[in-house]
Amino acid sequence: MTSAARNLRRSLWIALALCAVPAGAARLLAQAIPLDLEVGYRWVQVTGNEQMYRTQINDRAGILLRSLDYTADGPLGGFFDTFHVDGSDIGAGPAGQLRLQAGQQNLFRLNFSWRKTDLYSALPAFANPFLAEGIIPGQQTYNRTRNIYDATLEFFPGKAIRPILGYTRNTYDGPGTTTYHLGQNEFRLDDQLHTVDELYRVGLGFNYGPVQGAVTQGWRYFRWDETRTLAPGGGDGNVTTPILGQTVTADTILSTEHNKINTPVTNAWVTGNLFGRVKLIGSYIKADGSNETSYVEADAGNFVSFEIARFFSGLGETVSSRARTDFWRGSARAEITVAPNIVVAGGWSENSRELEGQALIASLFLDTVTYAGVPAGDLLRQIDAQTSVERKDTVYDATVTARMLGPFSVNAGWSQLHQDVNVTPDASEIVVPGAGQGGDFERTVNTYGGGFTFSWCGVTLTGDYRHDDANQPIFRTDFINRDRYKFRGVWNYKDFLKVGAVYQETHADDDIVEIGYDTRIRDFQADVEVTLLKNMLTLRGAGGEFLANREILIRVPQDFTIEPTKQKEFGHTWEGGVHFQWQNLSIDGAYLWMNNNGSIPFTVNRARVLAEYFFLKNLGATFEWLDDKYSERIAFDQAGPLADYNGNRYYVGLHWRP
Amino acid sequence: MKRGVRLLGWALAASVGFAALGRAQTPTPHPPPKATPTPAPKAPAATTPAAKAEEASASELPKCADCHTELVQAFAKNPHARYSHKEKAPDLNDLCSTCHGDGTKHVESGGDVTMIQVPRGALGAQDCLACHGATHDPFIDGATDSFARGTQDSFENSVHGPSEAVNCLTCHSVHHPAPKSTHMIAKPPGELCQTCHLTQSASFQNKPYVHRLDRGGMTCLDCHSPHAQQPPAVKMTTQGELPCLNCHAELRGPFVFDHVTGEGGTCLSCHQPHGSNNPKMLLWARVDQLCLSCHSQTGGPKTLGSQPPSFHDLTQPRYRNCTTCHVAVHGSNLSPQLLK
Repeated sequence: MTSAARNLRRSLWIALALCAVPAGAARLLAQAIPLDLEVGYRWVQVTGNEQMYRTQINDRAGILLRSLDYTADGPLGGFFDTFHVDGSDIGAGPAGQLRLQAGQQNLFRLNFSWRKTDLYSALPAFANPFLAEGIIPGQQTYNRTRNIYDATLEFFPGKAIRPILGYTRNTYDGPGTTTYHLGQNEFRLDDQLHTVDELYRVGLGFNYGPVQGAVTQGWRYFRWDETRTLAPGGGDGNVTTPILGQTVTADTILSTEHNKINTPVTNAWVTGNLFGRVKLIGSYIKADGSNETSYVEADAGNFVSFEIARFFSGLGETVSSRARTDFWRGSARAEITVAPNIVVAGGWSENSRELEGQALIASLFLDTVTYAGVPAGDLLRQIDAQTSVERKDTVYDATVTARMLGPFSVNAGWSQLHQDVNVTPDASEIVVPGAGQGGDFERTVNTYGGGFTFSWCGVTLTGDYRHDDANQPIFRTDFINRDRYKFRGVWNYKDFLKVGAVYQETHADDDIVEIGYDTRIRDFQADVEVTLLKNMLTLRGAGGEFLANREILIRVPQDFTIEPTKQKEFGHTWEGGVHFQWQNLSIDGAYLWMNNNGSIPFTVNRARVLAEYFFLKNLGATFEWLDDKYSERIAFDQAGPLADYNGNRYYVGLHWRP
Repeated sequence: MKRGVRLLGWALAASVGFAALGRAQTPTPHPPPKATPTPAPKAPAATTPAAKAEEASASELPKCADCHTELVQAFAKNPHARYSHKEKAPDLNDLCSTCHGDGTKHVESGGDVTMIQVPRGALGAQDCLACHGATHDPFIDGATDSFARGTQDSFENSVHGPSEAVNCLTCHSVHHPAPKSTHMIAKPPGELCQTCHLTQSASFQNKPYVHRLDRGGMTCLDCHSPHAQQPPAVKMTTQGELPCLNCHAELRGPFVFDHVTGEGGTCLSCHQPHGSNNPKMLLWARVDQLCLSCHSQTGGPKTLGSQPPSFHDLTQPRYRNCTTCHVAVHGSNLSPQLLK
């Protein structure tokens, strides 16, 4: 049987099942359960670069629970008196979620959520030294899944004392490919990763009228297990020309890494309301993480090391490392109502992080040979690396807000950020000694700004301006001056017309001619919505322009000259949509177009149609068509047409609603 | 996947079970209005003969549900009906007056809409804040948020604090919240924020490299707190970090050989979370240019990471993507040069 025939037969079975199951369920559930359920099947048809489609879209074929919603009617009696569950996009992927909220008034409240995301990346031009030869994708890819579960149980909600229990589990695992620089060559590796991040927490909330707060203690356990092996066909590496007369190849590469981090976390906050005019808010976070890593690697092949000036035929490496971070964050804030609708607020917050790291790296180079061809036996190199970082960020701020001055509200404010960073790198981190690899760095940024809102007769206008003024950079890309503008206008005319527009711009530079940092980001977007027939026909259109220019001087690392480097993005977006509703039929359609003329020139066309028809009071059929077309144009170091794809998805489902 | 399907199965089974249980044990959640008219909601207690006479007259008036039947009946499922009163099943008619005030004149005038209080605009927000004015509202935020946020919100003085342009009812709908929404928001989160934040919305909808907003549960509210005091109203993790690490927990560290985030930068030093035209949501299309924008030494003041150049021939594609060799750009416990 051909694959097409198999697919057709499978599709028919699925279609029959989709019809039969809800029909039976309809009899069973008729008028009994206020359950909103939409389930169906999605077909996917991709032409062009399917890996690029999966990187950007990743909708896949299969059964899909698009929507689930159940809210119990009124007090239930029994164990729960409230019960709600909802979910969306569960099944074919790439992302789905389920939530459950249940409780009994004055006794407990339970929140549970699960979220699953399939993460896929196989870009044609990323980490790909062979792009010019038409080989895609790049050498660093992954196909992994993230699951996040969260459960919180709160006792006696709304009471003076509220005990709280919670648990969060975040897993991230799956295969990938990566590269490894070894012996003056880079080799493709297959990579298998499994990580688990768990957080247990217990806390106590309190509410004594004007004073409220909570103290929570958490324990985070993180585990990382990764295995890397030489990919089939990867033994030649990226460098096929001889190095110092020897072709560098790998026969085997195998490494395993185990990492565990334990972090006790304390959170506390308290608020107080004094005399109805003064609000005080304080918070504190403490998190001290300790990290232990063990790593084993065994490689065989023909390699060259410039560091030990030898050829060698194998490497055995072990790493035992520890890192410890002490972090705390505190904040205090006061909000004072000095007159009706006029509030003066001021606050302080401080983040402090101290990191100490230590790694013992033992590398055994096997069967070494000098460049002159003299056998020199095995060579053991040991590195005991010690690193430390201290970072403190302190923020003071003050704002004045006047609300409800007729149609106006205005605000003005000032804030100051002071950063203090001290970095002590290990000698093994430094390739070419010089300034910038460590030491003390300080920076102070003062921000002044204000904004207004105005609303009258269906017209809303808002404006916001911020100016940042820094004394010096810590990184080269830190600004000295930055201006941020944002304006928005909306006009609503009855229920018939809505017109809106937003303009925002950020301009940052550093006034330092030796660095020459300059960035301008500009976005303009407008939309219009016309309701031609109330509750029946609505048209929507939107359009916009975006611009991003980033520029900075760099030293070119092959000839050490200085030249400006530029990132440019400039393009437009257009969108048109329609919503139509008539009796039991609803249709939503939209078309989106985007064009970027910048460092990566491309065009995106997207079409969406969603139609739903309720042929019975509670039962309807849903059809959806999604089309995403990505077209890239030729540009330096980009994939061009090799990246292009056209992805069509067709979904047919049944919708049961109470 | 199997675990997810199992969970879904349990949830569905639980839904059906509890629904059946609820139906079996629960009295009709919203009984039909009584035939005999009763006093209008929350009429002030009559103390004088004149007032008593007025009360007697009022007793002839119908209740809210007699006219606004669907609205009042639907209110049985409203969180306000469940939590704002101590009784398990309060009289729904009484609840209306909490926000709408005394409806006597409205009723006597035959339903004149000007005779009933309708919370709107900034003044309407004051009605909401009369109950929800607490800095942290456990009814709304729940316990999880209070742990995760670190700094507490102040609805009254937040970035979206009550003004004529933006107020509680701009985003929340007490009577007609979006289906499957939490916190009674008027539209699904992405759509709601899009109403004003057009440029961010356009970025999410159009740009090729984006977080999957509103697809599979991720919303603006995962990273932003609309009631926070200062823009951009970013939530924090339990450890006081950017919310990126709530999902990308494996990048948290601490690392022996730290890079960027622990040293003065953040995730936003390299990535654009609202969507990007560049792969991996990077700020720059070419990775080498992104890296060299910090790791160059061209003169000027001493800056962190701006070490002298090590020879790399960028005319060769092998070197143009720095991460081909320096794979551990988020930090490493193994390699001083972030090679693994």
